[in-house]
Amino acid sequence: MIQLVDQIVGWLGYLQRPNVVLQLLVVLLPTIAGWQLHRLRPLNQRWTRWIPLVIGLVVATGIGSLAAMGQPSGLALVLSILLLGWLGLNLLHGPLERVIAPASLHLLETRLLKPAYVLMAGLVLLNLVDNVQDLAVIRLGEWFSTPVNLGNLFEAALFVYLLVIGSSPPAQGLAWLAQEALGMSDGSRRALALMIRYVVVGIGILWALDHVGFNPTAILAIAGGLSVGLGFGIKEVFSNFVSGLWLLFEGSVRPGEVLFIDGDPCEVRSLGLRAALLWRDRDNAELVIPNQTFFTMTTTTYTGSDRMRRSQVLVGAAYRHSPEAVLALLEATARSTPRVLQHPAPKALMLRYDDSSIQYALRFWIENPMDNVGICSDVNRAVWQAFEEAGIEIPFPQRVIHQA
Amino acid sequence: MQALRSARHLAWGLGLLAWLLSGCSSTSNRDVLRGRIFLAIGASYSDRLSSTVIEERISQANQLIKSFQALHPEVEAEINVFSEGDLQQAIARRNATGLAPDLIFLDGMTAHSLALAGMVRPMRFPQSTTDELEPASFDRLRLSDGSVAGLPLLLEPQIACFNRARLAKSPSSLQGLLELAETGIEIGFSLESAGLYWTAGPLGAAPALKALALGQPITPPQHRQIRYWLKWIQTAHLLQHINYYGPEEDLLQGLMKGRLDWIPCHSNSLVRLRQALGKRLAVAALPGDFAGPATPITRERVWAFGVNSSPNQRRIAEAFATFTVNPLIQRSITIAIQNQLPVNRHVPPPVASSAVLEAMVASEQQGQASEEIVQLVPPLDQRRRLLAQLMMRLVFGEISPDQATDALIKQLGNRAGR
Repeated sequence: MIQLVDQIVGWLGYLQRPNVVLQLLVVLLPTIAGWQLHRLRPLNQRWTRWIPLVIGLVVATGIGSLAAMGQPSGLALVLSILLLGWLGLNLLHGPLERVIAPASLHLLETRLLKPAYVLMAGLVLLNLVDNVQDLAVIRLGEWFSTPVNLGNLFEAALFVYLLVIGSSPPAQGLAWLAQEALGMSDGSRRALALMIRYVVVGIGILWALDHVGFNPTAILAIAGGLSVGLGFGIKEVFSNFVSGLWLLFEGSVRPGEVLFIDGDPCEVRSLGLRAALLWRDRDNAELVIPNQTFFTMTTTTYTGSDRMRRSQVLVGAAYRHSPEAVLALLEATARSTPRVLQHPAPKALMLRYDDSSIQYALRFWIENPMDNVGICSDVNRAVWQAFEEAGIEIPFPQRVIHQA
Repeated sequence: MQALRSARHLAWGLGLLAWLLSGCSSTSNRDVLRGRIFLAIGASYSDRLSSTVIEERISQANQLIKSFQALHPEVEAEINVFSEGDLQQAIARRNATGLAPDLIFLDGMTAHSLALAGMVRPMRFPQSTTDELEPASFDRLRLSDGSVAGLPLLLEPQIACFNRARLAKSPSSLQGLLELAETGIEIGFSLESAGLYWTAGPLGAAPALKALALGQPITPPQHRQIRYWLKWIQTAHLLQHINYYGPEEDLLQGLMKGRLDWIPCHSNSLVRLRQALGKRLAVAALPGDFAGPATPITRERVWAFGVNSSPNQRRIAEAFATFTVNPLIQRSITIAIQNQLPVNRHVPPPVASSAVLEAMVASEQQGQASEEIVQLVPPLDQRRRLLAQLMMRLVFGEISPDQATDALIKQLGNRAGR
C-alpha cells in the first residue's frame, strides 16, 4: 500500500517540467474559467450557450500554439479529448431518452456508461504517467497469508461489478428463451432470470476470490468467521436473503405476482436480496417489505395457480320485483360489461331479505386482479343503468315512526 | 459574492500548484541534487513481460538507486518497466506528451536506433567518464556527429545454462550436444533469429550471414554453408529430445520447471534461474564445432537519456548514470549478483573465484565476433522478425533447407527491409 502511495505521489515529479505544467494550464485554466462562468451565468442570457465553444477554441488555440513552437502538446490533446468525450456522453442523454425508459436510462448512465468512461479515462491517463503493468504488480499486502497485488484485486473487483451490473440483460434473455421453450408463466420467467443472475454473480465472486489468490482454506476461514457474525450482527440481513431465495424457488413472491397486503392488492415489482418491492395501485405507493415477512406470515395471493380473480358487487332491489327477473338482468348486465370474463360465467345470487330490499350479489371473474376496483365500478354503473331501464327500484331504507 | 468565492478558489488552486512546483523542483544550489527522476527499464525482447520479470527489474534498479541515495538522499526515482518490443512506441507517445522518462535502460543497438530517430537525447560525456569505459562500447553507440546514443552500463553475454543434476558438464561441441540429446537429455533452442545465431559460427555460416547483412553478394561455398546451417537446424528438430521454443522466456520456464535440461540463455536471467534451481544450476560457454567457437550475441545494456527532462532532472539523470559506471558500483554489481559483466575497463571480473563469471567472460569474448552483425541487424530491425518466422517454418518442415536458404538470402540481403 505504501508503495502504491509512493508511486502516486511520484507522479507529481512531472510538475518539475515546464512543458507539462504549460500543457495542464492550457487545458485546465480555460476549463475552470468556463465552469465558473457556467455556474455564475444569469439564467436567461443566451450568450452563455457559446461558453463550451469558446473554451474549445481557446484550448485548441493553446494546443496549436504549443505544437507550432515545437513543444510537446500530446498531454493537452489527450486531456481535451477526454473532456470532450465527457461532454459527448452528456449529449448522448437526449437521444437515449427517446428509446430507453427514464429509470433504466438513469441506471445505465450512472452505473455503466459514466463509470466506464471514468475508468477508461483513468487508464488512458495512467498509461501516460505510469505503466499500468507496473502498477498491477504492486503488492497491497498479505491478506489471510495470501499476497494480494493491485492488478488482480482491480480485475476481480471490476469483474464482479460488471457481473452485477451487466448480468441482468443476458439473464433476462435466457429466461425468455426458457419461457418460450417450456411455456412457463411471466412470474416464473422473472424468477428464473433473477436466479440466473444470482448464480452468475455467485460464481463470479468465487472466481474473483480465486483470481486475487485466496486459497480455499482462507475462504473457508472467512466463511467460518462470517457464520459467527451471521449468528449475531447480521442475522436479519442473512435471514432476509435466504428467505428471498426460498420464496423465489417456492414461487409465491415473484416479480409480477399480485398479493393482498393490508386489504389492497399489490403487485410484486422486484424481489431483492433483502426486501421485496411491491406496487399498490390504489395510491401508486411502493411498499418495501423485508423478505422474511413473507416467509413467516400468511400471504394471500391472486396469482398462485392463475391470475383470475372472482369479484363481487352487492345491490338491493325492491320487494315488488320478481327475483328471477332481477337475477337474470344482473347476469346479463355483467356479461355485457367489458373486462368481465364470460367463462366462468357471471352468477347472480339472492342473498337475504333486508328491511327495505332484497339483497342480491353479482359475482363475476376478471382477468387481472389489479383491475378489480375499476371493473366493479363499471359493473355497478351498468347495473344502475339496467335497473333504470327495466324500472327496477333500488330502495333506500325507510322507517315510519309513530309517536304515541 | 459567489464570484468572489470562485476567485478565491482559483487563487487557492494556483497557490497549491505553485507550492507543488516549488516542492518538487530543485534548489538553486548546484552541489545538492534534489528532485525526482523517471526511469524506464526495458525488458529484453526475449523476456516476456511478467510480474516476475517486472519485480526483478525494479528490484535491480532500486539497488542502484539506493546506492546513489547514499550520496544524494534527496533524489527520488520512479521506475517503470517496459518490454523493449513496445519501448519505441511508448517512448514516442511519452515524448509527444512531455512525460518521457529521464533515463531509459535498454539494449545498446535499440538506443542507437532511437537516437537516430531523435527519440532520445544524443550525449557527450566528459573525458573522465569515457576513459573509464571500453572504447568499443562507445564506438557502437557513436552517432555521425560524434555524440553517443547513451552510456554503456553492463554486458549480458549469452551462455549455456543447464541442470547439473541431469548432466555433469556442458558439451564442448554441437555434435556433443546432439549426442547428449540422444541419451535423453532435454535440449531447448529459441526460434528467435538472435537466439539461434550462436550456432551459425560453429557450423560455418557466420561469415556468409555477415556478408549478406553488409549487402554483399555471397559465393557458392557461402551459399552451401548457409544451407548446411539451416539443414542442421531442421535435422536437430527430428531428435526426440531437442525442442524449439519461441522467446527465451519459454526456455527459462522450461529449465526452471524441469522440462528442459540444457538451454542457451542470457546472463541476466541467472538470478531467477538460481532461485528456481539453486545449486543444480550450472553455466558454461556455448559449444562450438568444426568451423569454430560459438557466436553468441552479447547484449549491451545502456542508459539512454530522455528528451523531455527539466534541467534539474537532466542533471540528476546524468549524475546517476555516471555514478553507475564508477568502478566501485560496477564491481559490486558484478560480484554481488553475478549476472552481468561490467563495462568499466578498470573492473576486471574475478574469473578465478567464480565459474559463472568465467563462463560469462568466455562467452563475451566469443560474442565479439557477432558484434558486427548485431550492428547491421539491430533489435528493432524488421528482418529479425521475418527471420524468426522463416526459422519457424523451416523447423516445422513447412519449407525445405533449400527454400529456407533462398528466402534467408533474400530477406537478410534486403537492407531496405529495415
